[in-house]
Amino acid sequence: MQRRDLQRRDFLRVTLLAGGALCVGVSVGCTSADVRRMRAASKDRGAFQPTHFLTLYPDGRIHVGTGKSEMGQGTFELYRLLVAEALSVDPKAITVSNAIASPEWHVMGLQITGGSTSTPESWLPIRSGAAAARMMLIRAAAAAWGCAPEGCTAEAGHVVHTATKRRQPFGALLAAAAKLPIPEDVAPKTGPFTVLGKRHIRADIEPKLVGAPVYGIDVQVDGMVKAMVLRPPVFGGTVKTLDAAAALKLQGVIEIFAFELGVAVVAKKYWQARRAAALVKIEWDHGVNAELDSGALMAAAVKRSAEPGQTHAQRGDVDEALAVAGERTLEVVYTGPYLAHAAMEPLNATVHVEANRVTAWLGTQFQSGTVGIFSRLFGVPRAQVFLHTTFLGGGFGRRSCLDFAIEAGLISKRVGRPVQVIWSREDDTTGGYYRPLMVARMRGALDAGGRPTAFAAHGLSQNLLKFESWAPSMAPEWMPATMIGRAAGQLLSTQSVPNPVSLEGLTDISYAIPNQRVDYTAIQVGVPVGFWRSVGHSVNAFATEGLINELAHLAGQDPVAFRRGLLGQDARKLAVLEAAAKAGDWGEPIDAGWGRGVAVAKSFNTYCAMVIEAGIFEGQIRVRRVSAAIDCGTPINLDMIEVQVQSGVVYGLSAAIWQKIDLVNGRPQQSNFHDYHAMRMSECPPISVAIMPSTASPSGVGEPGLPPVAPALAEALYQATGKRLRSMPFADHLTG
Amino acid sequence: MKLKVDGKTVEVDVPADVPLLWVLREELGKLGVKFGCGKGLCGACTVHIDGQPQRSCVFPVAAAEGRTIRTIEAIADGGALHPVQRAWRELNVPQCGYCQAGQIMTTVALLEANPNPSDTDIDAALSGNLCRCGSYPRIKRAVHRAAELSAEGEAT
Repeated sequence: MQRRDLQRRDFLRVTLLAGGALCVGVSVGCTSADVRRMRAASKDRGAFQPTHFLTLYPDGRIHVGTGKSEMGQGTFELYRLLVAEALSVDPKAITVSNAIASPEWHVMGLQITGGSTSTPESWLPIRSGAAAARMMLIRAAAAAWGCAPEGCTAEAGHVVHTATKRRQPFGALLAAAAKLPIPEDVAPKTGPFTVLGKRHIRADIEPKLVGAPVYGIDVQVDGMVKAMVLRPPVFGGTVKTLDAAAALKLQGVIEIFAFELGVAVVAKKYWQARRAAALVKIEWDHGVNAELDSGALMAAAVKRSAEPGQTHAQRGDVDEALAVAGERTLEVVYTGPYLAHAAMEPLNATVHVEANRVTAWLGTQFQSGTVGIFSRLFGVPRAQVFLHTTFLGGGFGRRSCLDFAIEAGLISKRVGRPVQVIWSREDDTTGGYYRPLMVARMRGALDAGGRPTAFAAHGLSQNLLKFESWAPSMAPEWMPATMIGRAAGQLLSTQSVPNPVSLEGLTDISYAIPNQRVDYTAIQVGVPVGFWRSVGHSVNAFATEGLINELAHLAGQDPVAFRRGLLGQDARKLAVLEAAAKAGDWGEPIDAGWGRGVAVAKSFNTYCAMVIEAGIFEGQIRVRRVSAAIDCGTPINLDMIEVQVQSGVVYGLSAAIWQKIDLVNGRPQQSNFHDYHAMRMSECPPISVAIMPSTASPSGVGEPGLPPVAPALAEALYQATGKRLRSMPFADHLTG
Repeated sequence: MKLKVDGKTVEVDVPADVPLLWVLREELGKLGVKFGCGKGLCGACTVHIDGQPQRSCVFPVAAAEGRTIRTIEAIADGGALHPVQRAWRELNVPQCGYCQAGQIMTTVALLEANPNPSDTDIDAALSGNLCRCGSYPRIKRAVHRAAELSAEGEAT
């Protein structure tokens, strides 16, 4: 998921709330509910809880609750460090866990983790809330000492009277602090920081060393049964006939039945469900997608890209500039296939639907969507939906879909017990909600001096902003479904809704090219699609940086120097490019058979550039070195930034080199790691990450390491072999 | 049938061809052993059988009868982390953490057989363990560090 959420929320605000400027973050205000909670925590537990996410205990323990999902990207650690800095405590004193889903975690109406938003969203509000707690503790101590709060400070979990060095641990001040008014909009301290900007061992590491964390697949609930689902082989298919006679005889099988999403095989244990499922005979009505062929779809989209689409952004006159440039033009088509996310933990969900409440335990990225859809589907108020977020064994956007939660809920409702649905790896790979198939036809022109005068892109893909599928989960309970449908339909039919998601990486490129145009054409086909790490950037950065590299060659210029001449207005982008070039020994001689490629991209407000060294040997692409530089604003945790960039690089290389989902007769052809290849240790190059110093507001790092990967690699392979690769996966082009 | 798991002998009553992974998880509650692919392709389910790393998702339970099975849950000795786990902590290796039990199990077996592995040795041993979070560069450093910590432990 990505920052397009801000625009989506904006649309909803406009339609539902009639206006208002886009705002980032949320003020941690003080409501009477906050005061009541604080007083209750003090009375019942002797604890100090001035805000929903922060509780201090008399024994010195500090607990931080978070509404963000932890999928490895470090949200637990983010919350811990922000609170530690603002509260002036050692991070080791703080524990973090997922709070139950609730509106108090909403930001602009959503509780969702994705789009590299956790860091920018949390930066001010979490520190401000912790700073308010710090202020109250200081005031409590000052009152007890009979001195002015201004003469006190907080350090190492104590309030200290500066002049006399008298000190009180926070734990001794909790009762008094809980009687004070909660200050609003407290400005957190500015740098220099003691905790932020350093390297830290992550908050959730201890259980991850000993096999202890509870992922969705590990949830255990009294009375729980297990299930697997036999899903239609073709998206949108339905069950025609079902013969479960033989399967029902097996040990442990409870029920086998057809439902909206396929056939459920319910048993006491998953291994029993799997054995039974092998004996179930189903005749499917494959439905309208039975002839779907992704190869034909790609060819049709490439063909269609030659005609104009709907213009979403333009500057100057691209057609004129192209005409004037004559031979000094390029027209090239960049493509990417459908992609599965392939997180290490196969999808799963544990749900218990009862008459008046729904309880669920799952590794979801989209808590408010899940609560909302359960509320609608099962007719219970949102306040009666209790959603516990577990650790996620990888998310990458797939776990922001609602399908796997809905499935488990429907089965639970039918069997009247808590049900844990587990997907096999094959289920997970063939289950849809893919990164859409994407085409970008790129055109560029140079003037006689070799400077680009035109940049045009026509992007084609399925529209990810399908309001009708998720709007019901978000709209207020009182709003009838028909009204939501009308509002969604109106937004879509006006055509005035831009599609920033599908075009991100083609617009806002900040190269000083005077004539630019970006068009979009929606591909209308029934493949379920979703948000895949870096979303539109995952192909569009490939297309943009690919065109820039190709124009550089047409101009006879070095690709870094070529970009340097175009980035006069974006100092941060230029700086990160220069840092990567330096780290990657750009311009130095390189041994035969190897090439260096460069790319730079801004995504989710973060800048990332990289130099990749690669070559093709014995028909195999080998990557031997990646030198990256990242500017994500004020760095919060140097260690986390480094590993998130490495993470994006490995994920991006796997996709660029090997991965695809082919659809033939409507059926996904890839099913497990033997044919959906994920990079292995032996294939992984050293990846260095230079982190740019900055005092700008921090931006996220979960996704930005990915977009520059494919274009930098393609350029490296071009330099090594003269072969220009414009469609992923690259390995498909290495026959013979 | 009787199984020796993490130092205890237990009785299970399941068909002979049920993969050891599911017996460990669902009959014995060893949830630290992970399900990733079911085909021996990803290594998340790695356990030791008679000291050798095996993919429990394709290992029929009957073939494990009478042999010594060790899971991630027994690698730490009481409260003391194994040198591999200490190295993993020192170098902040896990991200989502789902693959790490398997990575650690493979590494423990590697160091028992080869106390000072080269990068090439590490690649060969660990390429059966997938990580979708891309923690490979950290894992590799941590394997070297674990070798150092193990050697220090031997010396003292």
